[in-house]
Amino acid sequence: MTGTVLHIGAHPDDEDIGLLSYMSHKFGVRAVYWSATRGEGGQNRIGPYKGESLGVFRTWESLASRALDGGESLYGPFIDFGYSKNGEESLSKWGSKEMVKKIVRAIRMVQPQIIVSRWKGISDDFHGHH
Amino acid sequence: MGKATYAAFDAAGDPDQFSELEKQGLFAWQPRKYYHSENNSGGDLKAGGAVNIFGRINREFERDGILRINTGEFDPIAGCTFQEQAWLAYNKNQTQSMGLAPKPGDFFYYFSLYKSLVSVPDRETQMFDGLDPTLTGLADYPANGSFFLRRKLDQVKECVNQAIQEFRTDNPVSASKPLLESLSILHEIRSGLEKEDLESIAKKAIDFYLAGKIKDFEKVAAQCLGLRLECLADTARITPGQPFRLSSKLWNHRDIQIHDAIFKIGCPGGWKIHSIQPRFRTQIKKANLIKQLQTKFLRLHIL
Ligand SMILES: [Zn+2]
Repeated sequence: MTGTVLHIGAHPDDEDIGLLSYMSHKFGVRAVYWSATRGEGGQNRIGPYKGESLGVFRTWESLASRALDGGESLYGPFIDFGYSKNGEESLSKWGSKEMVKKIVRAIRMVQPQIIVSRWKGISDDFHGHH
Repeated sequence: MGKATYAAFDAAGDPDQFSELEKQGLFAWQPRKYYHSENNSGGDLKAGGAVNIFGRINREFERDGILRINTGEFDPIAGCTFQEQAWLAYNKNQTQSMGLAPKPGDFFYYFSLYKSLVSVPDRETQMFDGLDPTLTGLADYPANGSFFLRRKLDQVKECVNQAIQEFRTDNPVSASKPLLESLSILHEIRSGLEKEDLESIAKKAIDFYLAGKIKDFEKVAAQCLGLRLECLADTARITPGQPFRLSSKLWNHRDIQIHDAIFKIGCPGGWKIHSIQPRFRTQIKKANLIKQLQTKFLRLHIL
């Protein structure tokens, strides 16, 4: 199989992880999860790392996840500035054109037949980054 | 995020948009289908997320235009379900205190089809419905039905099937022959692309795709042959300008006859190799080490 699915989300734990495991293990297709940020703004319930160090730590966590679910991880260059209630804030901080460009870059790099967007960009999505 | 993804889906296949990415070797590529995840069973809303924790059937989503997959299916290779593997993976997010107990049984995810450039049944049963997810899918897009590509890729698929038939976990060497044959066909396609009547941007995208595929085949063929290449720097962190030593070893675990091995160092653009002093050692029979390269104080500079 050579098919590829590119799953797109904002944070390292947004992914529909069952999808990655199912696509990669059942069909042998490439399942790539692209996260816009490394989750620097999230909580840390096991240690003192915050901000950038937490981003590094969460990158390792994601890679450890991928080693088990058979997927691959890619990241955008955006900084997770913490919990945000609305999408406008994210678009203005990250730059909407820049966001589109980075996703286009991921698509052209991965060359997927299928895109699965974790979020719809509506207020139902629980977080302004979504 | 969601909004930017819509725009990116449309822009990715348009060579006039973000054409500056071509400098990075990335060319227009149009995904064929666009799905949304549906949050079918809630989750820890206070934490700002909506993880599909329960994987329950959701009657609201049992309709046309929405695909349901059951990740609770059993994976005979892993000996557990796809979802059990997924939770074990998800639990690696320890800083986020993820702790989901893997258990067997049905587990559903729903995906609504937002856009499709190929015709699909009203009620899909698999994400790749309407698409050819095998190598020949490349002949549909971006090769626009190219006869040459389809014929050649069909040959590669035949070789792969043969390799699967011949593969034995205790001795995978015989599977390597059809894999190496696939490799030469893939190289043939790459060099034959130029003559094909296709837009140059499509040719570039196919070439980029095949380059990645060739690496995949090389990796699997080497594994079947029991060949392993090791390349180690003597320090874990290197700052620009710092001299360091690099050693490369090629291990031949299955005593494959090798006529020659040449080591070459590939550096990213802007790096400069100042001196290389290779010291080849002859074959060490017992350890199956066939060749060793040591570059002494290879200096790399970021210019
Ligand atoms: Zn999130």
